[in-house]
Amino acid sequence: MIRALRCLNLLFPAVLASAPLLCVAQGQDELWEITMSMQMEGMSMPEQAQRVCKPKGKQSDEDLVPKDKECRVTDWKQSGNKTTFNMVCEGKSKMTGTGEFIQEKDGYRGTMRAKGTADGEPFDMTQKFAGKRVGNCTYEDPVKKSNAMIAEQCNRGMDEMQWPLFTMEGAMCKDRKAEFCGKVAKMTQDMRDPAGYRAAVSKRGDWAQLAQACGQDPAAITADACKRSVSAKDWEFVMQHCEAEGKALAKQNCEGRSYTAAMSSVYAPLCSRYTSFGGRSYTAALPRHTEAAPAATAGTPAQEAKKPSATDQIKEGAGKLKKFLKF
Amino acid sequence: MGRRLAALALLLASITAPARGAENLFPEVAAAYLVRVQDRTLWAGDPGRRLAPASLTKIMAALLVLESYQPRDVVTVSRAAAAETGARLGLKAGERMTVADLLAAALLRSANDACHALAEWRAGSQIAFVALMNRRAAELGLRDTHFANACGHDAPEHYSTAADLAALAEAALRHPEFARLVAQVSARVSTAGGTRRFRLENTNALIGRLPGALGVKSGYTRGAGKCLVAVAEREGMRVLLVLLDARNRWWDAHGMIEHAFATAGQAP
Repeated sequence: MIRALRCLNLLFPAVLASAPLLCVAQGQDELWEITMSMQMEGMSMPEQAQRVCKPKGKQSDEDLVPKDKECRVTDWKQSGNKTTFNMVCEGKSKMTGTGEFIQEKDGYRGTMRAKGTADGEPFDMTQKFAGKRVGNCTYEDPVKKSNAMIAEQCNRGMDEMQWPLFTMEGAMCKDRKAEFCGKVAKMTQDMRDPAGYRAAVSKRGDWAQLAQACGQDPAAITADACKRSVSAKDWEFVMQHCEAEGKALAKQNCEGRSYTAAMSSVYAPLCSRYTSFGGRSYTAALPRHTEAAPAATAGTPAQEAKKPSATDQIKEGAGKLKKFLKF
Repeated sequence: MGRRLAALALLLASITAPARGAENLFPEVAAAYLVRVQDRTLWAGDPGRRLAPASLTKIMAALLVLESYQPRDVVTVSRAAAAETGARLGLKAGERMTVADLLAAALLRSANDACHALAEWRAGSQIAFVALMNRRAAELGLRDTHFANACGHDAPEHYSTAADLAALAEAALRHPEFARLVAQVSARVSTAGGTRRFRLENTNALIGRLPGALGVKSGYTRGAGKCLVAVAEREGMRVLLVLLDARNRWWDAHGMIEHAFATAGQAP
């Protein structure tokens, strides 16, 4: 049984594979109905039919012989409407065969007898095949069709910047990697400005992966945007994307200043952020802030003790709070 | 009757939602403190400890003035009021100012001369006014509060607690005029007839600097240290903070309030 299947694999699918696969009812190409049957010791396959579309005038008579790619036709002889041939197949299932077919008015029919071995076991089989033109169709080359689908998918991937399609090893669209990375480079160039960075981040949550896929360093891109945001005093951007720069600026411009002076300065948002919840890890390392003498003074202000600030304690207590809060 | 019911309600509230169960996460911040989000006390340290309240006293003074408020009444400044020490407007004896302007000066600049003049206007004398303050404190259920003067000077029998001051601030904030005044960054007042004009900067440094800050009052004396009652509100969430004898009042208040919002916002 296995032996028989191997033989079928060698011949029958070959017909289907070598025949044009895709067709539609109307067109200028040829719609054929192909039937095949097979007999061998121990089993037989009843006649099976399939309609296939063949490109008009582009098939030789040899194409009518069902065969696998590991098989080749030899001794092709034509006399009148009758043709004889031999076939040799290599590979796992070696075989030799002889066959003939007869051209008819609107088709052909033929037989082939083959002997060989499959998995070391001999076989002997007879195959019958026939073809009949049944109408017209429009042939679509499966290779072209497949290429068109790939191209379409790559175009969509390019539009949507699906980096795995272009940059991963063996990617479907690897031939267009340069084009893809050019597009990524344009995006990352824009990102070196805070406005461009914001726009890109809002559109592409995976921008860092895109950049990395094209050999760029996301940290360097962010660093450039941070540098510009600091120059522009765009604190909102700094607090959102540039924690190191924000902390450094807060240290430089808030530490040691009175609350009212610091919070009235241009650095107020940073002072606020990095002396409260958001910056507790930073403030924990700082000496305590000094405070201006209160307006309502009725004596010498008490000396402020050098003890941990509230923000230090906030850090320590943060974990406990969530358990405590029930609302 | 209404006041007694309100006092009962406050008393019940203080029993049902006490600071007792709150964790003391910031023991180094102040001698006593309390942080409340909505009606829940999140963190507290010695909230029942009796301490000098300094000018937070003026919250009670303002409450009493507002409870019989005649904003256009003109008050003549007495010698005693003009002789007040500490933060002051610099009013002279015999100068005249409206109740509304005196109240603004007492609350924003924490002016003791303005506060004293209001006490005399309301009760005839500071002593009588202090008696009213203590009676009102009792009505509000402030068991650990006692006043010895109208404006917050240090005195042995002048004390309150973080918990009581939180309740007092909540009561005062129910008066729209009080809430309006303490939320101002600055204001302008003048003596009657406009002879002298004063620009008042709110001594509460959080106003205009901490997003959502709504007031209420700062205070300082040598005995009390730096004190603060602050309220901030964001997106319907209200945080109230009391600090008594705070070490680093403004930075810590700012951080604690921010943290309260952040923590409460993250809570499920």
